[in-house]
Amino acid sequence: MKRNASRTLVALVTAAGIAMAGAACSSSHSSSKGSTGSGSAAGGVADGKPLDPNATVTITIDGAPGADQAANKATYADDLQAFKILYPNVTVNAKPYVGQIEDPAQFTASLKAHNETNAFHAYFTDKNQVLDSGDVADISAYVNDQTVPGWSQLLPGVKQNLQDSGKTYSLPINYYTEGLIYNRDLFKKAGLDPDKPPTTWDEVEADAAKISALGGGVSGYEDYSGGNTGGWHFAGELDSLGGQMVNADGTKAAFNSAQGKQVLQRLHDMRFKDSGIGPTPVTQWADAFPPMATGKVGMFIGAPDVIQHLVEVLGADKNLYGMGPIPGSTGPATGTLAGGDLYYFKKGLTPNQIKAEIAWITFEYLTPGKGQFDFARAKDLASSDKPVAIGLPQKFFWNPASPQMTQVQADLKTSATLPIQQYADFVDNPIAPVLEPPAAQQLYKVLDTAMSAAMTDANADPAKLLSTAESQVNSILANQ
Amino acid sequence: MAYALATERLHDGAERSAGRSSWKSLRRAAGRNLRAHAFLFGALVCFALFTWYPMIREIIMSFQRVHRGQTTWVGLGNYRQITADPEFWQAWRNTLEFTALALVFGFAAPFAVAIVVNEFRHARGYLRILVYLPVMLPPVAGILLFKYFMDPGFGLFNQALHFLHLPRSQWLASKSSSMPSLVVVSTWSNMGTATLVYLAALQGIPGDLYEAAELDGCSVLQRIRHVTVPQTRLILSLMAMLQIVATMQMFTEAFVLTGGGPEGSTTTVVYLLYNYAFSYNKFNTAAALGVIMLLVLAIFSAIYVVLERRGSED
Amino acid sequence: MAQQSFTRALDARNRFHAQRIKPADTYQRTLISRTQLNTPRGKRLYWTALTIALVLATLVFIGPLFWMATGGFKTSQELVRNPPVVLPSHPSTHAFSLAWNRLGMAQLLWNTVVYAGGALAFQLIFCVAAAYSLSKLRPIFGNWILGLMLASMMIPAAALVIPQYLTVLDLPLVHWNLQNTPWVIWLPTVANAFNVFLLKRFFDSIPNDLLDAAAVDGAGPLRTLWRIVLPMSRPILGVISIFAIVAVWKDFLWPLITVPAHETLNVGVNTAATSMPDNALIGGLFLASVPTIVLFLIFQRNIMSGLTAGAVKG
Repeated sequence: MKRNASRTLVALVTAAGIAMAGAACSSSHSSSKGSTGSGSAAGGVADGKPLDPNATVTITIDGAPGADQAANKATYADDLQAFKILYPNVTVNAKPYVGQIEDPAQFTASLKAHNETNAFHAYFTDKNQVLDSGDVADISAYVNDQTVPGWSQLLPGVKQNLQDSGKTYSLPINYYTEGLIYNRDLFKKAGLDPDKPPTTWDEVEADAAKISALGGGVSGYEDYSGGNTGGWHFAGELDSLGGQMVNADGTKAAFNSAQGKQVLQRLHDMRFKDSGIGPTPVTQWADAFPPMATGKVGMFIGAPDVIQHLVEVLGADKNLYGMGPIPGSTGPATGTLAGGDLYYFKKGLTPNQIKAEIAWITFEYLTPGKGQFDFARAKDLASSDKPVAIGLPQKFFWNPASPQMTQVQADLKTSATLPIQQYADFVDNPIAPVLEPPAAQQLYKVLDTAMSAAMTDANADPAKLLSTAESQVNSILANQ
Repeated sequence: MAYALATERLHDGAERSAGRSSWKSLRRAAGRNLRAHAFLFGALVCFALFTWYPMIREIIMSFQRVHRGQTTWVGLGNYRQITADPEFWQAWRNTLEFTALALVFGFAAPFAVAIVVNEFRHARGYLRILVYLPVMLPPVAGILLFKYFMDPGFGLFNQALHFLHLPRSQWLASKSSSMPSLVVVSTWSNMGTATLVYLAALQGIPGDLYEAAELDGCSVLQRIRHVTVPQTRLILSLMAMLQIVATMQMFTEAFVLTGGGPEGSTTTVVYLLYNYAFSYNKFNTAAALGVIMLLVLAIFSAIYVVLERRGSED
Repeated sequence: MAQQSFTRALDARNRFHAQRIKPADTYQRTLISRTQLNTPRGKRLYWTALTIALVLATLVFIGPLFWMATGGFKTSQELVRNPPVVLPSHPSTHAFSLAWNRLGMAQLLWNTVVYAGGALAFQLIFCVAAAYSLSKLRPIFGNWILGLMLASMMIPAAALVIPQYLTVLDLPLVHWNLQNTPWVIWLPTVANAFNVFLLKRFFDSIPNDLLDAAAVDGAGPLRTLWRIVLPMSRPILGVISIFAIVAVWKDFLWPLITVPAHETLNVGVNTAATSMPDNALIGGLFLASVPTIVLFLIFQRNIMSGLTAGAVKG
């Protein structure tokens, strides 16, 4: 009796195991669920023309400002109304977000569950992950100067993030390059000219030493050393000296070079030789900002939206900061880090839906004087206890000489709340952005160690650190 | 259990011998079983969905890779990828360092505290509340607090050390002191539970054993070694194993305080798992890492069970 | 007649209960005997040791909380001053209100309470039912199911996080996405083999004649569970409840990735940590700690006895 029972049991357990394995395999093959549009009978045609104003389309999009951004939420609603006048039969269902626009776990989850909105937000750096999910549509046939005014004027640094293998997949809504953010007040106190930020790393080192000499917990310069941000900044600083992270075909590390050693040696000297860098390491992206907001840091490599965060979220004085180009070896850098946000288009949309999404995104995000570029409106909504940072030198998608940029600059002059002349150095010295290396996050994690050692270990040897990192990175790249 | 089985068989046997009622007894047994399984059903579904199925899925995933929406079988490719990553080996070294340090300090400390508190006749309740208080805080609150205490520049710990004319430490800012600092944080937050458990166990030790030991001329330390420890051996070894399994999965402290640094010295295995899944977007390699972690801990648990059984046979 | 045997069963239950009441505490000597402590030297040593212990314990366990409480009243500059400022010169509650708003404390607390409460309810229902079934109702394959459940205890929770995550995004067969719903916290907690094991052991110790007596009166398994077994199981249910709530309370990685839109207190504090000045953060940490500390101080007797009961039975 017992033996029979155990034999039956073994059979049952095996069967259950096979069934579960079958379910495991099949769920990873589940097809993406694209929503079908309630468009006109034909659904539209991919003819490279803008959306027919009479077309009836329903689209969904995410990234709409939520309850924690009262002013932005109101202007977004106004813009939807204005859009409705242009396209009376188009319904836009915008999904709001609160806090961070993209949370890594949420984003990954939506790609795995294939439940993104018709147009969904992503960062420049998500490109591989998004393309890997197989959820995005090729919109090359839909974008041109007619449907997206200014398309041909987009900077190559922006366009390279919208495309892959010659096909276009997304539209940009944010773009920034990194520069040197500095505290003008501390510069004045240390006897430096606040209108002349350092343009070479030698000057940065000297200025940082002078600022740290002020005492009181003030450090002249701070930099990342953990959370993948250390390696990210290493890459940016390497680029600024003309170095490269990986070789041309992305198979071997190329940072174990004179420039790489210079980056680490410089940081090491700033920390241990002249105390330009303080003893508290900065290990996460957001940890850099509180000391900057309280005036404890002289200089920092960052994007213009850092100033926005300092002014709007941490309540710093908006006149405090200036911005210059990233320093290089003999003058401003030859390459810099860039980043941005964009919208991808989900696979399975009808042509009219794609056209409608393009129309809305262009209206809200890519039209000078309207949407996010309506500076006059944003300025009206600012108040003393809710500062709005208008005038940041970012989202400059187009060529400086293009009609779009000319209008943006004119609008900024009239409506800026920030002292934009303090960023003139940064704006007048645009630096070409460098693409991220393959397996970027993993490489950054490896270089976190090198950055951290340089800034926390008095006996650190840059040559050794880089050769260790080099072999590690080669191992990672070889096993991709 | 044997009693229950025996009574059941007796009942069934008695009914079967009645001949025709064997069909009825079968139906009754089936009804009984159905009811029993109905009670079991909810938990069974949850176990199946959230333990057994993910387990099998993880093993399968570790042999696959997804590219541009297509899933392919890659055999041991993911395992090769993860073991070729030098971070993998460092993460295991870091994790073992944390576990070992936590065993030496985070395990001995609650036991020592329990022994001392057990001796006091006054203020015992107060001390028990005090030691358990950190356990009641939300973990992140406690951890972030230490971030301020351990700041190498203005942190209270360094100020106190300076005041006592002791050398200052870099705490979380240097690769040699970062893991020990995390052990300090972890011990402070978690020792309350262990202390209370040991206190309860200590109260079960018969006083005559101590009497006998003292009469034999044992010093206090010898008494601890020969009476206290053997008497609480079972609970000590159980807590030790639970602690080892828990500390091998440390994540929150490293994530919140150090971001895996400095110089990757606090990247633990679970932190690496998180990175592979959510930073590098390599879910299948993360699955391979999960399987490796499972094997290591399973082997360890097996060793523990064998040692335990052999120890109790002595 | 039925009423009589049912009463008999209830009497038996009460007698069983009485057996569990511990006899009054008699003096039991510990490491150091009372006579030793009664000598003048012993008395001096005892009181010195006690004083040192009290001072040290207060400093180590209450000190950080005190610092947290006063930190919120200071300005950010005062917080990081060297030498440290014990009490703020111009205490202000501005930091606390800022922290409350930025953290969205009310929402975080509510989320955590909902998750913990639901997890407790589901565990009490399904784990108790499963343990009852495995212990008393004895379904076919019961031992195998128990074996599978116990085997899952060997699997480290962190190793399963990734496939569990993928599973809740797309449940097999029904293809539901549980992310950002409370179910994703509630259901996996039911798959807790340790609790089922504890409950089953406890139920095993309940003599079967009680249940047989009830069965003779026609009470079904559900009624027996509700009327007879559960009232006897208060101590173990208390232990399970504490474990269940604490587990949800302390969890970090799972809620971080599965309910990012409705964060728990733990995750919320970490996310918002850098979006406010230092004194607001410390104030926020204090606000986050207050609810549990208050609850603890109110229920500390129950919690302590629950833990020690668990230790003794463990």
